[in-house]
Amino acid sequence: MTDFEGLLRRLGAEDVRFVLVGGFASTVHGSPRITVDLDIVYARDAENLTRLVRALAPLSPYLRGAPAGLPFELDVPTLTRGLNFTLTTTMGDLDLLGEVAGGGTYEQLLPQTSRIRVFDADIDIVTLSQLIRLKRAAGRPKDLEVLAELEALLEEQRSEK
Amino acid sequence: MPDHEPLHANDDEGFEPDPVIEVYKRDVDRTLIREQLRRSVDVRVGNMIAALRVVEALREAARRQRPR
Repeated sequence: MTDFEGLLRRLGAEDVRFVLVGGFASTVHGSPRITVDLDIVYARDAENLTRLVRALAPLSPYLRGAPAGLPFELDVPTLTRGLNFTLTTTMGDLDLLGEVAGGGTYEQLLPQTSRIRVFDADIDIVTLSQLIRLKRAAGRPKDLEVLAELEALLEEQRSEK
Repeated sequence: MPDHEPLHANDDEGFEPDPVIEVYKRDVDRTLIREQLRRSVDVRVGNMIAALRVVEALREAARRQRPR
């Protein structure tokens, strides 16, 4: 089971710059669904890649679903050559996204975030509207129910203001 | 110490309704959503993790029950 608190604390301890997206972000906003992994959009400048490696290397990150024994190492050159990585770690499943459909890079997403405190860590989280846009842009049929719920959540939030 | 904004501080933008999603919305349990909105972020996250632990425990139990 993914240790959400452990992962977020590790990222926070190394001052990794990222935006929280995906299912955990939905939970924070009020979705009652459970999610099994942590999704983040990370800044891809050299300093942040170094911080990210420092945060994750002790967790034995490996490509999720890949055959065992591949020579995969999460280091700065690997992050630089790739973009999006679906990983399994000793603290559970983590998706590192360099870019997302409908939202772009970390820098492009940042204006559509709020800073909140979760597990004693300060985290930038996409707004619910932007979360909905990202899901719509992904265009997956399996997300239709989730989208309906997120949009209903947004309507209920706005009706409470 | 950074300022913490309200969760919806930057969320004023709207978007076009999608007709397919509008149909799915009819089946959304809004009473559940309203309950969630009354809860703090910490409680929402804590409840989700607790539910996930139950799911994992059930899966593990099912794995152990499988005939060899």
